Amino acid sequence: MIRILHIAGREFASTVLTKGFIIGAVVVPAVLAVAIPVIILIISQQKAPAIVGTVAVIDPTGQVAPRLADYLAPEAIAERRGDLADRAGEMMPSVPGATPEAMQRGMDMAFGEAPNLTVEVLPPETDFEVAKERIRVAVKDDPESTIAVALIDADSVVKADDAERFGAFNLTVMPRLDDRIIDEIRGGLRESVLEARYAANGFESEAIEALTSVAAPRTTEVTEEGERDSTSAMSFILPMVMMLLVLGAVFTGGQYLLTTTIEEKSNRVVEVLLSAVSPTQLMAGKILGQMLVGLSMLAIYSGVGIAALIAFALGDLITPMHLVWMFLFFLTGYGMIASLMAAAGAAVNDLREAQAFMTPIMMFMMIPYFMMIVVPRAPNSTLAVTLSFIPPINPFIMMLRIASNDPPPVWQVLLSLAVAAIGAVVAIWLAGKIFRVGMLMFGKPPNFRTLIRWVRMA
Amino acid sequence: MQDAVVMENLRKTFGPKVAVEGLDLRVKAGSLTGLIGPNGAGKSTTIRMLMSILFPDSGTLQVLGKKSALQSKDRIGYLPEERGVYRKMKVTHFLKYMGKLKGLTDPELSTRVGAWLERVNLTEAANKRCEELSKGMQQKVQFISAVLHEPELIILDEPFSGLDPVNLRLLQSLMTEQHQQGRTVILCTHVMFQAEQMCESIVMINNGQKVLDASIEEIRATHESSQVLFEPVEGEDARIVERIDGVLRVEETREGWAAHVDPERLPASHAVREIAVALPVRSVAAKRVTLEDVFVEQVAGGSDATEAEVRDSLRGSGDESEALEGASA
Repeated sequence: MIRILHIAGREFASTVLTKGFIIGAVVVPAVLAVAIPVIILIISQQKAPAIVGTVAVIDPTGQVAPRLADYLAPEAIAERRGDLADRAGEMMPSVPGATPEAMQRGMDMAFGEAPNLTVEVLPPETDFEVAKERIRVAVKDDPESTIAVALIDADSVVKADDAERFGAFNLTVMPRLDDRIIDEIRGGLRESVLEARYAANGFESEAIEALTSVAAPRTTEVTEEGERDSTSAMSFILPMVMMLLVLGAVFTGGQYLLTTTIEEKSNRVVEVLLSAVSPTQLMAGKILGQMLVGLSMLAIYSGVGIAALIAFALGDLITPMHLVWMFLFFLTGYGMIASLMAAAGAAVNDLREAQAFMTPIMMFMMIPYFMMIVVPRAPNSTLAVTLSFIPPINPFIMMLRIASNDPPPVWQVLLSLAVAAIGAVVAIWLAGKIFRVGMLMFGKPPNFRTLIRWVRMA
Repeated sequence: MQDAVVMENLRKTFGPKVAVEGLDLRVKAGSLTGLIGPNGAGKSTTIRMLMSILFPDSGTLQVLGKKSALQSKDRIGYLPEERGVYRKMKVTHFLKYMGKLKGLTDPELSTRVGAWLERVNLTEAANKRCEELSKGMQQKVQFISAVLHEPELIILDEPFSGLDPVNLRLLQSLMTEQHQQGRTVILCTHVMFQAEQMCESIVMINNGQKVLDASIEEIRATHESSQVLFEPVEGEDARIVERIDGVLRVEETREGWAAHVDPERLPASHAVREIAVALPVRSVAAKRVTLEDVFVEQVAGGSDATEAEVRDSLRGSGDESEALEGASA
């Protein structure tokens, strides 16, 4: 046993000290943890400066320009943003700190500071081309300068007799004008034209708005602790994340196992090792060492994920039992996948040859990816239950189900775990036989028939 | 004296290829035995079975009194033919890792690794990565890993391949030293003169079967030389020797002339006298029997191959892993 631990220790140490692992498991989460707050800080410090200027309007209808002036008034813009912040707050009830003030800050960051625009109504006979010339001489940050010229079509409010459609408007803006301001002006023109049309047809715009809008629906969940706002988005994200964590950790360990096995075989160190330990001990040590590598990845990324959930007051979505199941399904999933990868590594001479064996394994392992949307939506469907008992994918399907809104009964979890454990034992047994023969075989890579012969031979 | 290794009727096949057939072998404890034969003869397969890296299809074996090397791996030092190192590992770390796998403790390792590196002039390479070492230096590191744990039985498979003369002598002296300290050493090689130089007893294998198992003295005593080397006095016709009954042919060599005799009709010791009588010579002597001669005699005598073909096979390229490769085909 001590020899197995020595081999495992070397495997672990030699893997976690590689640049690839350090970057993937330590640097990336660390950079994210530091970079995200820094980026938020930088963005919050760099609010877009308030735009000042004049919007010139040629309005033959005489009904659009006054409405536009109201729409673009600074207080009207501020009011609309306030409403938007309130709606955002309603949609994210569980997010701590989502106060109207915080939302307003968020809106300022997203849209920049509210612009200070003046609407200048030009005579209806003004030539649009001449008016556009005012933009050419515009000076930035000068309230007198014209930053945009709009031409309202004469039939934009009242349709011409023989026309099928209403007229619209043309908008010309100064170069490099902030896109958020352009959207604001364009939106104002659209709203103003619509309001003018409502008025022309005898409708009250408030009545139209009241008829066409529904307040954001509030969904609640009834839990053992009481009612709470629905976390329906998380009910999809959580199973996906938990499954991807387990799958990623299994494949990280498995991939390293494959490459180190090929390395030991190709640099001929294997026979030296086999003079000191049995093939079974060698494989057991390697599997154990890389299991610790996968487990480290799982622990690091799970830790980051749990910290994020706690930061957003969603920590109660994860229970200790989730973590226990995650650990157990990682072990069994790793046992199945990694031992197959060890066998593949032992059977071939280089990574290129290994692809032939890896392709069927990888294709099979795509099934959990395809099930990421399907299973959380119906975690106890016949499909989900059936896949929960098919090794080697059952650990990953089970993670999707366990973390879903409607977790499976405990007996199914235990049965799936037992199936996975048996699958792991069988896979390790088969891999051990292929490993024993394959590690000393050089030359032409084996085909499937040869592998069966090796299993019988060993 | 107890036998360190006992093999009885061992057989090993790889698919249709028979690598070892009916092999009986006893290696005395404390002896220095040469396991020789051409490439692909079955030497490495035999050694791998001895080490429990491969398992025989039939037959039994005993290593250091145990039924399998698995039970006595810590008492065996093995330098395989297919040897390697962890390229990125530092020399000291590699040796300590191998030592730990052989059951050595940290204090033992810290003293022994340094002492051995000093012995083979690799102290400066201690903290280098293995990939930075030359092939010869790597080979010395591998030798250390085979003997670091002071094993009772040392098995060295082609230990001298690729070594320069200086390192070859160093390794030979280290091997001899290990033997003199009472350890059993099995030297596995296809270079027969090396085995002849160092070993007390020889086991010859060809086509997976044992063709000879005897001490060097016994081999020399029982195998008559079939060549007499002579140097005629200037102006004398060396071809006269061909007229002597029992002389098969005469050929000129770099050092003089060689008369090939049929030992059954004319033993070499008699041929020396006959040649001295037949013509005036500066020197005449029976050529000493070499293991290669004995091997050629054994193999050529029992097959359709000519002597030249057998000698060519001894110098041929390729290695024993081909036998294993056959299994994957």
